[in-house]
Amino acid sequence: MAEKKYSGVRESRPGRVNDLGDSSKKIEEDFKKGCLKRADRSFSQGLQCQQINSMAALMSLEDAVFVSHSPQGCLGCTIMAVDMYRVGQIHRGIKNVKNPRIIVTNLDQKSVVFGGENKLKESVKKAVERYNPKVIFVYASCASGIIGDDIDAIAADLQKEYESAIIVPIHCEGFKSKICASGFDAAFLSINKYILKGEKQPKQKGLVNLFAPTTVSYADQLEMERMLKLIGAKVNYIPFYSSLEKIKQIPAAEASTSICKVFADEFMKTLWEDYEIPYSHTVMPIGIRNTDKWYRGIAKVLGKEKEVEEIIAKEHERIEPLVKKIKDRLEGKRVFICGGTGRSFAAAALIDDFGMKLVGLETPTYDDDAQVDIEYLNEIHKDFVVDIANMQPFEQVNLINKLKPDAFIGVPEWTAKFGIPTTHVLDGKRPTMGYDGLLYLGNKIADQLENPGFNKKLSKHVKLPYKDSWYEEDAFKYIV
Amino acid sequence: MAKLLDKQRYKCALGAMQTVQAIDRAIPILHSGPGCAQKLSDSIGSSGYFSPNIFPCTSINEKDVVFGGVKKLDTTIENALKVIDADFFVVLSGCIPEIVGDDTGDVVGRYQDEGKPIVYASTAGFKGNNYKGHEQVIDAIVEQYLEKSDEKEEGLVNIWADVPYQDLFWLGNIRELEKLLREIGLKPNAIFGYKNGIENIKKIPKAQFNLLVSPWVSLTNVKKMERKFGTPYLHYPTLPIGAYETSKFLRTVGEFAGVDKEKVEAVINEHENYYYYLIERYADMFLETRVMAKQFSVVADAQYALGITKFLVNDLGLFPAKQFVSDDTPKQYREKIAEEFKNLNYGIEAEVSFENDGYKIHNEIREHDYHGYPLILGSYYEKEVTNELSGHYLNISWPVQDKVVLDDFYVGYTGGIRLIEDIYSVAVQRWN
Repeated sequence: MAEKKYSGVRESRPGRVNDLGDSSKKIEEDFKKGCLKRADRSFSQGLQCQQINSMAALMSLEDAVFVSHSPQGCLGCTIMAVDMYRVGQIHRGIKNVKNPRIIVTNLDQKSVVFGGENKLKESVKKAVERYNPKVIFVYASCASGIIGDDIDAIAADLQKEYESAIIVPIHCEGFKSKICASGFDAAFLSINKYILKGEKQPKQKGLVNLFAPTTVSYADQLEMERMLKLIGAKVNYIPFYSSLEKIKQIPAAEASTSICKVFADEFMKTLWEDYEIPYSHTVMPIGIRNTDKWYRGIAKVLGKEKEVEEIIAKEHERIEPLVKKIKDRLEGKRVFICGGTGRSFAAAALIDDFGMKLVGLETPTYDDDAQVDIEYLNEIHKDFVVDIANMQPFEQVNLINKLKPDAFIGVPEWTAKFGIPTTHVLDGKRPTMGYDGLLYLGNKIADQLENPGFNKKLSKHVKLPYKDSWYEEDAFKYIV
Repeated sequence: MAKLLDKQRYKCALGAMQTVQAIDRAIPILHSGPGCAQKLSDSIGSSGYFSPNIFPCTSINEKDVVFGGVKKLDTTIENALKVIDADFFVVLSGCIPEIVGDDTGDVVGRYQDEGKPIVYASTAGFKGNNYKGHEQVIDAIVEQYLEKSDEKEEGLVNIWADVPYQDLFWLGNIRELEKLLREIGLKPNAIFGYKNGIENIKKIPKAQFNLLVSPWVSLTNVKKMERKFGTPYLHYPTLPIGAYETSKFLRTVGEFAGVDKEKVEAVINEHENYYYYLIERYADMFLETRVMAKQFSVVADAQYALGITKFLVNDLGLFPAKQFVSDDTPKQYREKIAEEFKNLNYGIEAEVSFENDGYKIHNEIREHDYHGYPLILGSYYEKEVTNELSGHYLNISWPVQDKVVLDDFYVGYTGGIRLIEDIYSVAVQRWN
């Protein structure tokens, strides 16, 4: 285990590809033969960087201060974190709603020449004086990485000075990875190194680590907890809206699972290696098939295979007639899906519940996990276009223009301009998961698709920002 | 430059991508790390024709850090010109290329030599904030794209105001300023906003003068234009909100432009009549509101801190507690701006603090006795502290989460009325 330590950079795993476009059948075959090559784009649009994910993973942790060791722009989107944190508190019934404590060290020209050590020290000092936190997360940035600030060494020095807070440096420099989910791994690597430290604990009976990213709503949390309780588990919901105490409890668990496919998947391997905690890594529990799969996965680890089948059968009996009603409204619609790794494949599986047909899928990475999903989807939908892209709306609109789907699921703003009805599966504030989430989501999709009026009118008045000639080109022209 | 930022109130220089976005059919090309466009975007009306996810970006990786990203920039520009339907391209360089030493100017220069409508600006995050980046973009346009014009157009006035998107009300404010100038017979020319694109940029050197409505942002730009094009400028430091300041503004502009006084007075008269018709109808509300203290604080960039303070004191008869300017105003401008805060009617003076450390600002607000429930106009961060004090809160400065603004504005006579509506819509919710 020790000889090949995982770096936190997702590209370092063999067989993982970020820039690719082809038919789903061809990709399945090429992957099997090991001939998917790593590529790049000679023209591309902005991505999401891994630092965002590292921050998002932890931003709702109680008693924490977040120090971004960066120029001021790296926290330009901080309002999103503030909003998520506040909304999450309100959903959880907290009266005095707080803002997250976020400090940026504000690297400037002098720091670029002489290093930013003093700025980081000053920020940590202020974090302690002002907020007396139990934990301080220090995030690296592109700038701090390139100028060579050794945040580990600086944090170690500071730790001696400030004993009341655990100081956790996180290596999430944006340029290191094109896969933003690497940022999750970077955060968990540091949690293990600085908080858990490989120290084993006595196991707590029935305790299950349930890893959840920021995009999971409170309603979904309750649903996941309800399902796990039915099979006798006591849930340690982390790290979203949790606390240092809950993080410290991780090694005491009897099992782990995650809500998202690319969240804590690597960390759960580490937990097995370092603390012998078995885990279930399956799919995101959206839609009947995926929810079953996710549920059976964790039940198997807990030795509750029999019990879970009884529950699943009961849930199906309850849900299926209701799903049928949604299916009547959506059957046969041709769909293009675009989303993050977990949600895109989950949505692709979900539309089968509603009898919809997949014509295109856009998702950020391809690897053995994706291969499993594609094999399954190729069985149902025959053949469809796959664009392995982190956003890249120019490729998306090129494909949409050729495929002309009846509906689009994902980030809607570009496809909407074609007048095609759009909807989404990512809802960090409302239910989407488990058996009941499916109904909420399905009805929402059906309602939106049945009234395409807004998109139709929009398409009559606005134009997408690409030259007409672009639509004649191969969508994957710039993948080289 | 400010030290650490606790609850930061602006972005980095690369945030100037939103300055470019505000120019119709102009698009930034980012030579930067992979996440910059997303981090510097926000949800306040930024999904227009071009939006941050559309911006071409070199998304520099580890290899480029070692070997330089110049080649990637070159293919990105070349292909952007083929794929994107834009009139104007602005290459913005971020932290990484500026640290590793990519010669962005050299790459862009080759496209300029071919006659492509493209400029570049050095906007590394560590060099400054987006106020500075905004000035850099205008500077790049003036320096690299425009030439001096021998022909001047009588009555043509370039309008410069604060930073688009950083300023929630930028679009409405610009449109209202254009409207007011038109009413006194001038021809406004702004490069930001609806249908204000490349043609307006080309007209810049022909203007009779530059009108800068901001305490300090873009002062360096109008000075440069004075040197390069021989265009004089009028610097009006206070964002005119409400009748008192707007009338003063129109008189000042009218005089500078040589507009007939009677014409200006007629316009003022008409506006003031309607303004006080509205105020009179609601005077009972202003006079009888008991729940809101007479004292207020603004936490915002210099333009709103100053503009709103003058409005609330001079027009509404409120009294200023301490005011907070949170835009890291360059030191050389501070004294003059602080003097403006003392230049209020009836000898009233407002104390102002140039402070962008949210922790300190909040403590000062907590410690001040507002003689009642305070009125706090500020960023979303001030919501927490205002709630603590059971105060009245309005989100008027960045970051914004509590307000949706399509083309609302606070400038001018109408803008003053809008601000009153917003403030009292908050106050009446606890009328009893």
